[in-house]
Amino acid sequence: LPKVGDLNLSEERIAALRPDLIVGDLSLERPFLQRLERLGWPVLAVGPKRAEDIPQAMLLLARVAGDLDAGLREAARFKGRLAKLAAEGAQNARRPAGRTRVFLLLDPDQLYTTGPGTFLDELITLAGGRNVADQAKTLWPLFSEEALLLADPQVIVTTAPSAALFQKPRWQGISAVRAGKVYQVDPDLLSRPGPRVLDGLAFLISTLREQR
Amino acid sequence: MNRRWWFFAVLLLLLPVVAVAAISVGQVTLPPLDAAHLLWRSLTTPQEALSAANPPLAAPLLLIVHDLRLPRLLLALMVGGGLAVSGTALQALFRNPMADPYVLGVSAGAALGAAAGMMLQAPLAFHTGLPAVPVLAFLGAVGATALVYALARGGRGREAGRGTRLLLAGIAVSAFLSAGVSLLLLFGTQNPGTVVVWLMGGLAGRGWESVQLAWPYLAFGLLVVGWCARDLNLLVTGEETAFHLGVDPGRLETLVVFGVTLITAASVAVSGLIGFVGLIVPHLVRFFTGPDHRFLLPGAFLLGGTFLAAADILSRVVLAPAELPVGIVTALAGGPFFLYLLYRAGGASAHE
Repeated sequence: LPKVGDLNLSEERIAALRPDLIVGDLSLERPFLQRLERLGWPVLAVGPKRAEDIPQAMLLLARVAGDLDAGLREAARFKGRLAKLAAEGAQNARRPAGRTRVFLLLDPDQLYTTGPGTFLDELITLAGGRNVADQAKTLWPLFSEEALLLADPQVIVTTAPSAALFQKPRWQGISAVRAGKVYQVDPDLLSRPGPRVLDGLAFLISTLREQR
Repeated sequence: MNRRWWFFAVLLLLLPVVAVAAISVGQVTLPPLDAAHLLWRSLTTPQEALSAANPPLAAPLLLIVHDLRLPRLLLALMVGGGLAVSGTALQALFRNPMADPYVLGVSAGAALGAAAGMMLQAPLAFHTGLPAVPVLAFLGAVGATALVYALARGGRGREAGRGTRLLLAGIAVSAFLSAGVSLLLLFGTQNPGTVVVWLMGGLAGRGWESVQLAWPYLAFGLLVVGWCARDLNLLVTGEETAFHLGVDPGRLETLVVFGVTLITAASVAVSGLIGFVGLIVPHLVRFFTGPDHRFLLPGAFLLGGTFLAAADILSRVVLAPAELPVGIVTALAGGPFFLYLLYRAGGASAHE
């Protein structure tokens, strides 16, 4: 398929292709999709908010693509694997010392993390951990360094190379840094609400399992 | 005269109060006495002992007070004071009440440098061991002002209208460089949010390394500007008069621009673009001390620093456990206050 833009999409290029159907993500591109819809183009917007919504979106896409059987197959497989992973996560959560404290770092420079109510926060909980920023008031808070030192996360997962941060002398006392439990993960595995999140979830579960 | 005396007395009382609050208030709020005690212990314990303590997090509070709150307080005082002094000096130099520390292109240059630093971060940090963002922001700020200065002074300009030429060159260069920032935001590989937060200005996550990076330039710049105080007094009476009283306006301009550039570039490098301190604090201080720069400049330094330190406390508390960029706080608090002053005084604190 020809490319029609990156984060900035070109309507004209889309129009030139005369697509049968335009599929977009509701959370990222809502205004753009609405504009296309007003132009009378065929638009299908999906936006699963939780891991358990993903099979639904898969079925929907399979149906409009005309291969419902494949969709059913994939959705069932997703559900099965999700259930299995959730069980493993629940085991992680049953540690005598309580859920492992997890800090998710989304930026190499600033302490951007995920607050409660996001897809990423759900994944941490599913994996059996506790997001140390679950008391934040916004979805993507700029976490305070003081709060980080006090929360003392046992595992830190980063989506960007941020080695410099972890060399700060004042961070050396953080349990995760001291124990070498700082992991970098491909952001696509955690932040795209699609089939790949299971790989991200499996990764989170494995980092927390070592913690037991 | 009396008013001036009261102003300094109140400021000198306010400063320690804000300083103690800055050390005590945060994620955990300590009683001021405990905070003072911790601070004393952290200052009397050698740095190696602090980080080598086993286990190191035995005293996270000690770490928080010594490695987070204290350097942040010092930075707030330095940067707030520096920006206010810069604004004061530029308002006098241009005899323009709208002048702020960023009119000469410092903000746009620093923003471009910082944005580039965030995009290229890994390579530069890897090769030189220097933190890319503050260093490039500093170079960008100095470079932009140098360009503005060269453009305004060079060419076939007449001596008259020099100030206006500098201001216009500042606006043009700023617009040009800002376009570069926008391009980097659009096409850069980094999350644009990171750059945007930097642009809002903040002291979150800055520690001793930022203090060490900034203070020599700030101190030297402040000395240079302070040295010009008497000449600035003469200049605001008019360029002609100043000239006849032995002031060389061209030389004075060079000195002030040089000093201000050092101050603001160092400030911006470690704290991003903190707005309003450099614009309102000078007017506020002038209201109390009158137009004499021998009092105006120290007053601006004290009030600017205290104001930013207080704003920084708010920025830590409002959204806890998250941080609010302090530039938002200064603008939110400063904007309405400035309007109030304008309404009350009818602009009487302006120069002409």
